[in-house]
Amino acid sequence: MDFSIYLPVAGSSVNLFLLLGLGGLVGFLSGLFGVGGGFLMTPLLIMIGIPPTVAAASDSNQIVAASSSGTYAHAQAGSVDFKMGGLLLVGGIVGGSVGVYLIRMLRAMGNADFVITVTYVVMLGGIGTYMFVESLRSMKVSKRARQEALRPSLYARLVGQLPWKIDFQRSRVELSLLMPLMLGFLVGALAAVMGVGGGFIMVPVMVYLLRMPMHVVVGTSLFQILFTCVNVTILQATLNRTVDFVLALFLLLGSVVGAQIGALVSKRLKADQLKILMALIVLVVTVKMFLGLLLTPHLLLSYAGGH
Amino acid sequence: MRAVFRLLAPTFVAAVALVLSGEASEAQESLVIQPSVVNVHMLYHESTVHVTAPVLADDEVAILLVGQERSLTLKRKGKVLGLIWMNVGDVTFETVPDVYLLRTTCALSSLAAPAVLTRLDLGFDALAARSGGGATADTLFDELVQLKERDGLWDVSEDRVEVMPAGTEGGALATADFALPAKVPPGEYRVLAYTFARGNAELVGEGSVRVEQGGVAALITALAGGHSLLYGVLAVLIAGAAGLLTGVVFGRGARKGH
Repeated sequence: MDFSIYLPVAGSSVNLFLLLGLGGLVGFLSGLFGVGGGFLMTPLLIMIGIPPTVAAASDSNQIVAASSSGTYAHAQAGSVDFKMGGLLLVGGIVGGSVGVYLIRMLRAMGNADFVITVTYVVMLGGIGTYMFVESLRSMKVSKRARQEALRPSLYARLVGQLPWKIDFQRSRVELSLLMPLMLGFLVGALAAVMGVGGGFIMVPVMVYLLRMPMHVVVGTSLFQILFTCVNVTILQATLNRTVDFVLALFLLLGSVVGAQIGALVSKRLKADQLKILMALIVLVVTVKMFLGLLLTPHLLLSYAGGH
Repeated sequence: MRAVFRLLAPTFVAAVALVLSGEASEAQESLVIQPSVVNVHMLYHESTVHVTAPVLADDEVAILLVGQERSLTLKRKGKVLGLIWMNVGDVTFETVPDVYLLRTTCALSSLAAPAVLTRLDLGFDALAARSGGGATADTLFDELVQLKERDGLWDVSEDRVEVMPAGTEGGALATADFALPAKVPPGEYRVLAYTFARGNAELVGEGSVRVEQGGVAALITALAGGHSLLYGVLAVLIAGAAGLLTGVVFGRGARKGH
């Protein structure tokens, strides 16, 4: 028996279990690390023959399910900082709009693809390497040395000078409200340029720049991704008509279950283990992208759209 | 195959006689296409369209299933800084069919002279000759063929038309199968059958096959196209509800477990 399902907007048919499996895998990573998984899912969908524009838009739709499932699980465990997430979201929406404008300007100048590709490789490579090295170091150093390392750095002193401080109780940090707004803006702009949800940039930003505990980071990141993807799905459906709900439905059936398992595993792992695992995944994606840039492509033509 | 042949043979004996008597317009009605309407439903993967044409036993035959001609813009990859491969611009092919499936009894070059094949739009060389788009598009036409072949939308298969004798006076039936993958867009597709004898080509049959979405697939496409805001909001609500529901179910399970 043929277990294919027809995707009416994508205009192609795909094996049902392949979609459920992809959804489950990416949902697991989403629940585990607090990322949307767009940077993994969209290329995988393109690889199985989904048109790039439909892959990106439908992926946003399924992330709504995975992130709402993950946010609920983390909120129940008390690991979502709604105050911090809200401020990051406001900054992210403004930054995303600026990013969209920026990419339109670059397209008019004719070098958008170059900027997107370089941003992708630099961001992924930089974040992955930093997280990997930092996590390894963190796992090695003694408790005493860790306490010494907690002495305020230049960055911490500068951040401490900013006005309008707020106590973020869930995250156990006191910061100026400008920090999440500015960093949300920066991540939003980068995500718009790269055409992704931005979870894999947001997580390291929360860990290293906002100094939030890893388990609060995962829940808060998912909370922020949920609203970003709601916005993107409705925009893609109305402006480009590229959301394939059937595709999203089968991906989300896998991903909501995967996200729950990911959230359970996340609670059992230490923060450093989580960070090093995420760093490894980001680095693997970077190496794959890098090879894709260096090796002669099988075909010199491709359909427009996608990441 | 033989059962179909036996079933259809009596009808086509009369049709072959009409062709031989020079009734061109009658002959063009004699092509049998089964099914003539392909219904694309939620479990659709691929459908085979079976075409039968009346010919003479000694003829070489070409049967073509071709879609609408459109302008197609694709991303072109190139080397930047002599090192990295990336999209370097767009390339537009002005006039190319979205679907082009050709079946012949023998090698294309054995059917007729290149000029005749070009005039009848038979073969990729004929498509390349009038695809338009300038020098860049011309040099990348082979890449376009590979891209379309990968999706099952373009295909030229030689030795894939079967000719079987039918009736007397050298009459025969030519049959070919066309696999229509899910990527074939809904629309009307022309089917043309040509015979070749001593370098001369003749159109012996013409018909069409319609591909249309049905049931839930058609409903979703109509909603996504005609009520896009409602579609987007529904997609978000269903995804959100599915996520929350799973969260609640797993939450209960986790609490019970403790």
